[in-house]
Amino acid sequence: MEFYLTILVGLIFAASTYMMQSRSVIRLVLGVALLGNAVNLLIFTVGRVTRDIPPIIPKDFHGTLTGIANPLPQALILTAIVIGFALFAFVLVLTYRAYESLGTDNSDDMRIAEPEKTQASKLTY
Amino acid sequence: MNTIILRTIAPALTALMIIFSLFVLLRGHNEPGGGFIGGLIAASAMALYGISSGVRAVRRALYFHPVTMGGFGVLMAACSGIPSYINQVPFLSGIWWKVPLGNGDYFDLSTPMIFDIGVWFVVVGAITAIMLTLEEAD
Amino acid sequence: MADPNLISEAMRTTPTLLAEWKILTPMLAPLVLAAISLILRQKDQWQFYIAFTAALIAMIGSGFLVFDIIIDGPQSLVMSGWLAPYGIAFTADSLSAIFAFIASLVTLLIILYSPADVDKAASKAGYYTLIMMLLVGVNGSFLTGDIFNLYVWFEVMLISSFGLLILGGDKIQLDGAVKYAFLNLLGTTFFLIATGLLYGVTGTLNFADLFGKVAASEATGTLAILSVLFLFAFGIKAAAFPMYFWLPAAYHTPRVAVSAIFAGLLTKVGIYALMRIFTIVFPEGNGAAFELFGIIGGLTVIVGGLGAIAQTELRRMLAYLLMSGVGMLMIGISIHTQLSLMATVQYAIHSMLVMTGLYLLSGVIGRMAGSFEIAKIGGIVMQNHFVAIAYFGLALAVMGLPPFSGLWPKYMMVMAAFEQGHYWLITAILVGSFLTIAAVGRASIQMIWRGGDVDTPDGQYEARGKRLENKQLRIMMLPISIIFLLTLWLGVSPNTMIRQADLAAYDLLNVEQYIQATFDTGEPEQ
Repeated sequence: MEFYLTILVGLIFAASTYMMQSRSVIRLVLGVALLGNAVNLLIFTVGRVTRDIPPIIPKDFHGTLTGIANPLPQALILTAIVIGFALFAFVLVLTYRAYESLGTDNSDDMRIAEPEKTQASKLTY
Repeated sequence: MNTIILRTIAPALTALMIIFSLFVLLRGHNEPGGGFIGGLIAASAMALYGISSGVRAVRRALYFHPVTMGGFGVLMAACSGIPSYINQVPFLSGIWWKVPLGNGDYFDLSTPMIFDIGVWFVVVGAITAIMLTLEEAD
Repeated sequence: MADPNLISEAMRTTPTLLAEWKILTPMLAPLVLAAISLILRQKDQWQFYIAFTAALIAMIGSGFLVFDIIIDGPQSLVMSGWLAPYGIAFTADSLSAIFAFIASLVTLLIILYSPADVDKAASKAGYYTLIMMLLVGVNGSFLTGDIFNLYVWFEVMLISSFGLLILGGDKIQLDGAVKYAFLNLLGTTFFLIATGLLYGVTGTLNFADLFGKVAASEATGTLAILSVLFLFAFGIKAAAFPMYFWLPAAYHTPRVAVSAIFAGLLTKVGIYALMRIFTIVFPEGNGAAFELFGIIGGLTVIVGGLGAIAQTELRRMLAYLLMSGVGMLMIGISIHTQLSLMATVQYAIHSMLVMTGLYLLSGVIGRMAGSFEIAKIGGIVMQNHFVAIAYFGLALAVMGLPPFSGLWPKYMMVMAAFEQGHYWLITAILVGSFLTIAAVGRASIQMIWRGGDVDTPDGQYEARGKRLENKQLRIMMLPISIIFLLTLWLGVSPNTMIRQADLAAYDLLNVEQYIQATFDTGEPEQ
């Protein structure tokens, strides 16, 4: 199972990298969202994937349980998913607003904050 | 989306979903559930109501502004750590009180529950606020 | 009931005293007051006082923390009694405490400045709440003892900074925010990957626990990759050389108070994370990391200086100066001796104060001239002497000239590089300083002494800017004057800062105390 998930993680990483090469901001949004999910899946896979034994230490048992999926990475990605959700919502709204007010979704044309031509000061004074 | 079927059924379904969200919230400490998932259910109830009856109806039904609810939730969650100070245990320790119900039974009141209710308010407030803003923009 | 002996291994059983709570005040006070200000956000006349109280309490709390750490060594508190490494620990050493103190101080000064810069609408839209949440995130990052917790505080900080950046929603703000948001999101995503994999390799997330486990781990290849991933993630946060593009694209777009708090705090949190992780988790650097730090730092200093010279907009010039300062800090981490880390801590404190001051002052100058384009600003000295003097002082400070606070850390940094024989880093520092002097000096000649805008002939005074109202100018100049006096004091009598930086560098290089504090079970010492 882990083997196939690893390949899937690689594929999602590749897809998100490809998407993030684009100049279109909406593809960038999708790329970043995919990247977040790839990372979550990566951490999930690293913590072993099995559902045979619940990760609960029995009474009077001392030592390390084997054959369980580590619950901590799952707790971590739960946090990361919630945070990622909030950030994704923000970025989506931001992109929409930027598209509306700048009139473009091409990141090459977004030059208001960094204008190409500026009024140069005189070099001598 | 304004079909008569949806408009008729939505208020009842909304009420049901909110009751379910409270149920999920309160069973959260010992069983699957809790503030976050409960809050999501309540927020989707609000979304459903918003789709069927409009943003104004949701705002009227909530009475408080969703952002205020979110702020209240943060305050509540942060303050659930305060009783630890009185009991001289580290911040956010779980402290349990047994509240007698009169007939010999006890009701377990605890700081994790206060924290969870705070989280519930944050989730409901934040997601409803985002949703209403988006819905109003259309 | 479970075996009480087992419980005391995992949970803290001794009572917690009030004194131990002070490590939480720098986060808890702004968090609670931010929640209250969110509830009361329609009462915009209260917002300022709530935010002021929050920053003041945070500052006093972290001030006490600084003193306690000088006396008793690093302090720690575990959440809800689960002992480290099971629970989440907040651990503060001299470095965390002094950074939290300066961050709270800077926030306090920016809140003092805010009434002149923030209108009612922005206040109702949550300006002060977001400032407080930003302080929560920054202080949390400084004080946490757990790497995943650090990620969470980073996100708190990031979300608040997003909100502050787009407050008002001008075109230019949205443009800057797009670049800021995507590159920072990429940074935190890489931070998350590195954290998850680090847990996979070592099985722990607690800084103190990681210290031994990373050293004992046999997965040296993976750890080398992870150290570079962390460097990349925090390099984006800190705006180091190849990852800096978001900073000059975004920092000049929001209102001045927001630019100032970003300049003062955000990049320093990235630097703090690098300092923490590359002393306790990867004390050897693992891989080529320290050489890499030096290369990145040297290039950042030079590119920052070149960028500052090239800019014609005042606030964008300041953004490049800020970046050049980040390069200095990276060089300090790269040399990695007691002296260089001392210089790094001092430079970070100096940079937090001075960059905040310069950004705030750029707001005053921009208001007086009606523009941030250096070509259109002129005649400041004729309009107001105090503004001119403040700019002159802060400019000397950022150049690293006496009698201001920039001199000592730069001097120590050069000494440290000299001791270790890193001559090209010395060259980079000196070239960077020269470029900074050129950029700031040219800007000050043009803005302060030229009679009017760019075409004004020599010797004539024809400032067309509007005069600021006295009341507003007084509000704006109060925090700037405080920063001016502080940087003058730290320059003339640097002993206090040097002693604190010495302690911080010692704590960084000798982590035993930090580890001991984290694993402290709360039992009184024999």
